[in-house]
Amino acid sequence: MDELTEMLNYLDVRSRLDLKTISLQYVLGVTGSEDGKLFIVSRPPLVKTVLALLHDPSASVAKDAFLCIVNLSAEEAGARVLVSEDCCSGSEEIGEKGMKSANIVASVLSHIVDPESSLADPACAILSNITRPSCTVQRVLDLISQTDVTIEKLVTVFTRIGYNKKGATLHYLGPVFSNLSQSSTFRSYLLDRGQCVIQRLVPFTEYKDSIIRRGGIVGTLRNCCFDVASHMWLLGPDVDILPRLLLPLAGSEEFDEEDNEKLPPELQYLSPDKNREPDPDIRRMLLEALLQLCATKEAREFIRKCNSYIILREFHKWEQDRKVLLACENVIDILIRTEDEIGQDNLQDVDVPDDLRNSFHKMDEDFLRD
Amino acid sequence: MKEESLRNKRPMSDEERQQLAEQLDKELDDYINSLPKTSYTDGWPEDRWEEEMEKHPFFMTKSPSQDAELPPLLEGIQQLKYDEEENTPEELAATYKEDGNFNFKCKKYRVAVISYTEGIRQNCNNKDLNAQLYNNRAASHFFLKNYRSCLRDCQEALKLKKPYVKAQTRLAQCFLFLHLHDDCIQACDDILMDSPSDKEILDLRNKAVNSKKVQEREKRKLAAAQRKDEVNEKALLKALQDRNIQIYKKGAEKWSLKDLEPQSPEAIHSKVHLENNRLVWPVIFLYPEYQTTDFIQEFSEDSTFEDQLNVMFEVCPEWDVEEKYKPPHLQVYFENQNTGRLCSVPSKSTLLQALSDKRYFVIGGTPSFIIFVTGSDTEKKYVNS
Repeated sequence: MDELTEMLNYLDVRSRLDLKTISLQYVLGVTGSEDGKLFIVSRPPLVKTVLALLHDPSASVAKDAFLCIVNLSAEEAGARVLVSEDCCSGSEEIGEKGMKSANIVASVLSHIVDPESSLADPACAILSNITRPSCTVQRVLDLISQTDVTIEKLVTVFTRIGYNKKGATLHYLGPVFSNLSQSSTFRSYLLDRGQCVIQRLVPFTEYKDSIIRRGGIVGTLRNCCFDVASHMWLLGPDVDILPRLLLPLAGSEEFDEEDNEKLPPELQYLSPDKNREPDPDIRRMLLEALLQLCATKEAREFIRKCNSYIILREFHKWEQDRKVLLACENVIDILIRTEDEIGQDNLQDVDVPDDLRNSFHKMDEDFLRD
Repeated sequence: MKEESLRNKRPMSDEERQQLAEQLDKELDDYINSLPKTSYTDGWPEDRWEEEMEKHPFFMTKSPSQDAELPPLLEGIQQLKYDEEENTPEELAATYKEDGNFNFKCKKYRVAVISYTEGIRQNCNNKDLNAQLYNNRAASHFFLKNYRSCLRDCQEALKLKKPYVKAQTRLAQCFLFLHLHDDCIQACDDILMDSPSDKEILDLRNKAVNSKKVQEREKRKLAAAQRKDEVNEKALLKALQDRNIQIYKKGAEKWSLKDLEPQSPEAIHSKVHLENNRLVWPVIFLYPEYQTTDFIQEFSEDSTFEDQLNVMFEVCPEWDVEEKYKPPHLQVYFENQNTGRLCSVPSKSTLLQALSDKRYFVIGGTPSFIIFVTGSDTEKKYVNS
C-alpha cells in the first residue's frame, strides 16, 4: 500500500498525462474497498493531491479524481478529513489555482453552479456525502460562506430544471439541503419570510423522476417542521405546506361532496391514476413532518379543519409497512382527539418521565415486531 | 481750440442739459417723420384678431382639426420637429418617445401607442432608447388591457436590455392576467434572483401559485364530471341492450344515445335514465278519441300500466265529458312501426315488458302508448284500420 505514497509524485498536476492517468486509476481501485478508503484518508497529503486533480485540464483525469473523492467521502472518516484544515489550500497556493480549488467545498461548488460542467453530478454527490455526518455540517456551511456561491444560488440551480447544459441532473442537491437543514442557521435561511426560498423547494415532494431529489426535499421539509415558531407561517398561504405533505399520501379515492369541499384544492378531484409515494422511507418522513406540525393547538386545529383526517384514514387502509403505519397512527391519534383531551398547548414542551419513555419505546418495538 | 475746451471743460448746468435733451428729442422726431410712411401689415387685422390668435401655436385653445390646412406657424414647428431631413433617426425616436410619454400622462393610451410605434419605426441605433420605446408601449397596452400585445412588447424590450425591472415586472403581471401561471412564476423567479426581497414580486408570485392551484382543481373537476357522464352513458347503453329494447332510427345507421334525446318540449329534461339500476322513462299516453295526450315524466320500467292508469284516472279528467275513462275499462295499445297496426298491451304488464316487445320501437326518446275505452267505437275504428 505504500506504493501509494510513492505515487504522490506521479499524481501531481504537472506530471505526464499517461502517468497521471494510470496512477489515478490505481487509486480509484483502492477506494473501492473500505480498508483502502481508510488507508488513503489517513494520509492527508495523498488526499490533497487527488483534490488538486479535480481541476485537471484532462477531462478523464478530472472525472477519475471526482470518483475517488465520491468514494472517500462516503465514509464519515473520509468526510471529516476532506473538510479539515489539512486538505485546505494555504493562502500561498490559492493564488496559483484560484479560489475555486481552495478546498473541497469550493471545488465542488464551482462545478455545481457552472452550467457547462459535465462533472456537476459527482460534485453534488460529494457535497451530499460530506454533509451527511452531523459533525461536518457546520464546517461545510462555513466553507460555503467563504465562497461567492450563495445558498440562494444553489436553490436556483436546483429548482431550475435543465440548468446544466451537459445533462447533469443535480438531483443530489436534494440530500445536500436535507443534510444542511440539520443546522439551525441553514433552517433559518430556508424559513426566511422576506424571501422566496422554501416555497420553491416545496413543489418537489411530487417530483416523479428522481427519488433522490424527492427524498432530499421531503427530508429538508421534515427538519424545517421542527421549528415550532414557523409552523403557522408554513401552514399559511405564503408556503401552504400541508397539501404538499398530504398529496403524496393521497390515493385516487373519491369523497362525498361535503368532505371534498373542506379539502385544500390540490387534494380535490384526484384522477383515478393517482398513485401514492412508492418509497416507504419517504412516506414515513412525510408523516413525521405532519406529526411535528401537530405540536401546537393552533396548528392542530388548522390541520383538522382541512380534513386531513380523511386522507390519512384512506392511507392507513392502504399502507402495509409497519414503521410507516406506526408513524401514521401517531398523527391520526392526535387529529381524532379533541383539544380538551389533549390539554397541552405545545406537545414539544411535554416532559415525558424516563420510565414512561422507556415503556413507550417498548410498546413501539412490540408493535413493529408482530 | 480743442485742447482749450478740454482744459476748460466745466460741468453742464441744468439749463444747458435740458436744452440739449430737447434738441435731441427734436432731431429724433424729425428723423422719424422723414421716414417713408407705410402701414403695419404684419400684425393681426383688428377685426379678425381672435381668429388669428386661435391659429397661433402658443395661443390656440383647441388642437387643429385633422383635415384643415395647418396654419403656417404650426406647420413650421411641425417640420422642425418631425422632418426627416432636419433630424437624425435617434432624435426623431426621442421626439416620438416624448410625445408618447405626454399622451400617456394624459391617459391617451391609444395615441401613445401610435407615438411609440413611430419611434420604433425610426430604427435608430440606440438600443436603450428602443428598449424604452417598447417598454413604454407595453405600459400603454397594459392600461388598454391588451395583455398579449403588452407581453410581446415586454419581450422585445428585454431582448434589447436585460435586466430591465419595469419590463420584467410587467411581463410577470401580463402572464398572470393571461392565466399563464407557470410563466408568471418563472418570470417572478427571474426578478427575485436579483432582488430576492421584492415584496411586490413575492406577492405576485404567490397569487400565481394560488391561481394555478384553483385552475388545476377546476380542470380535474371537469375531468371527473366527464368520467362520470361516460360511466352513466355506458351503463345506460348496456341496460338498453340487455333488455333488447329497440330504438327507432331513420336510415341505415345504428342508433346512438343521441337518438334517446326527448323531442317533445315537456320531456326535454326527463331523458331516460337509470335509478338504482332500473330504467325510468318519460312516457306519453295518447287519447285519439278526444285528440289529447298525457305526459308522464317518470314511468319506472317495473311499474305496471294498471298502476299508472289508476293514479292518473283517480279523478276524471276534464276532457272526459262522458266520464267513460275509468281504469278498469281502459285498454292500452302501441303502434307496430312495421305494419302500422295497433298491438294491445295487458294492463298488468310492466313498462319494461311492453318496451321489450319485439314489435315495439322507442321513437324520439319518449315511448308512447294509445289508450281507448274498451269496446268503444273509437277503439274499433283504429284497431281495424
